[in-house]
Amino acid sequence: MLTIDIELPRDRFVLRVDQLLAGGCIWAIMGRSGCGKTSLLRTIAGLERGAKGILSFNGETWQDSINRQWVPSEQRGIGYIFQDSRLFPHLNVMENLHFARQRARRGGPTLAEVVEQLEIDYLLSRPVDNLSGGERQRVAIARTLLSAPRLLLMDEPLASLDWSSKVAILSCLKAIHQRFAIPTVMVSHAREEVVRLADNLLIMDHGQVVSVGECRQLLSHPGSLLVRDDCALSILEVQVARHYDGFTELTVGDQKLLVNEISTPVGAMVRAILPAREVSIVTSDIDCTSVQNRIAVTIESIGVVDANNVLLFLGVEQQRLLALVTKRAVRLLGLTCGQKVFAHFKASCLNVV
Amino acid sequence: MGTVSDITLAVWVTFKLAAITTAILLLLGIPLAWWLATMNSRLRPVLEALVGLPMVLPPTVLGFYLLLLFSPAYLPGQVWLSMTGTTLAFSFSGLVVASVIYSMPFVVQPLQRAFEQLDKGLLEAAAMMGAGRLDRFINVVLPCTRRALVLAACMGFAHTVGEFGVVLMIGGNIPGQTQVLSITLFDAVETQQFTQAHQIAGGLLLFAMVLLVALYSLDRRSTILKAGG
Repeated sequence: MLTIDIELPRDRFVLRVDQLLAGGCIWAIMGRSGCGKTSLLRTIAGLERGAKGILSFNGETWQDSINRQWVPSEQRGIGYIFQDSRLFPHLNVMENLHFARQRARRGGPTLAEVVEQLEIDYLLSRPVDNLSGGERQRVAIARTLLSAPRLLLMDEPLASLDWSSKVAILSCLKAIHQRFAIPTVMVSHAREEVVRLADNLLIMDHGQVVSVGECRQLLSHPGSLLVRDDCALSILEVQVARHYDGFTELTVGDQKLLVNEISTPVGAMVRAILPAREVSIVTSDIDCTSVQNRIAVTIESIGVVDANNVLLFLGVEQQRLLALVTKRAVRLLGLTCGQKVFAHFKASCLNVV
Repeated sequence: MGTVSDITLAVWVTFKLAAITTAILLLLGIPLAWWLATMNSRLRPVLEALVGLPMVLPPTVLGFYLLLLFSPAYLPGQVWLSMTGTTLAFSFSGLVVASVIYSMPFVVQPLQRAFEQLDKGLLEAAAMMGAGRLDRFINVVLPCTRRALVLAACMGFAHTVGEFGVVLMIGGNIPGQTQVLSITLFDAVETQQFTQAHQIAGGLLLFAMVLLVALYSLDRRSTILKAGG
């Protein structure tokens, strides 16, 4: 349990956060760039001396400005994964790992465990300045885990990586959370990362928390700050039904979805992510189309995004699907709330995590 | 004046003076440079100016004031006299004190630049792994700035070897004690002993050249190593 009640003046705003973050799960902090996400993370880590207020973790006070209490960063037992991996240039990979291990708290994972989890054994004797971005970040994550943190803070750990490294490290981070069960707070601006990793979400704007809640609900909620842009996403809880022809069939209630084949066993529940801009609306069920996914939905509400576009909130088997369409299309098709329509999208647009 | 044994003695005095001065300068200069590099006070330009003063001041001016301070008529001279029973002026210890002040900017400035350019993110990363302030300084700051440390030490040493004006003012030119090479050279020329003058001047030139070549090749080698991996 992390208790935050802090204030930190910045150039363009004052960071003011009064929040309890429950332990045992992954929290994500999202918001526009420059909204104070990183400042909040740095304040928790004790890297912002200008912050005033109270910070405590599992009953242990880290900062209390009124009673002049301050626990320095190095004594907080926090692991911080920076966006730029910050490996020590004068040490090679193994020596970087040793630096963390020599100063580690007791009871952390062993070197062998971490090296295996992050698949970095082939890098150990290499100097750090000729590693690729993905390799650097893997070593940085390994180094942080070796210091046996009680709380893990991640500041856009994947932002500087290419897509394939991103996917590999994402699944690694997920496995790490399951294996080592360290409470985690991550900052991200990428919805794809957040929906894959996080359980709960804080949305910030101008230094203040504007929404708090469960990740899945918040990201597809009509009032949420984040869905007011073109990369709004839907997250559906679906079940794996069968694998055939290089595809996997998923079911949501009675309806079927097709995705490119995944390795998850039949019967497992997975999350399917679908960008709102990939969904189109058809008023009658037609099957003479190359689009593989056609599901029956009900229009629940229509939200205005900008002068030309609206976001349709579609109900499907007690879940919600988002579709970004033009105002002109709504007018021509005569779409209204409560109307039953069909949502079409390609199999390749659907992402399973 | 100017005999071979005088030159040998002067080489020994010069080397001893430069070595002791460099050691003291590193001990004082490293913390001072770090303090200047990390301080946010408005006093910083004043302190930087004080450290840099010997670079622009005529050495004789510095020598003149030091001579005054070393005399038992002033407090520092008095304190030294009561502590050691000797005066600082015209003594080897006095030369060391003067050299430390005179060569200070040549050690502090490269170190301060290196400390300022050091990525502070590395220190934050070290702190998050549990490294305290001293630990971070010894195990991150110093190894990451080791080239600047070598450069600073060489500059301090070479500059002390080359010092003349200050030594002339406060040294007293006592063979085996305060007579350094640059003064011996001056004396040799004054007394028209050009063979000795050539030996000293040529030796100092060679020393300076060798030191600089060594420094530059060190710089080059680490660049090549870095690029080649």
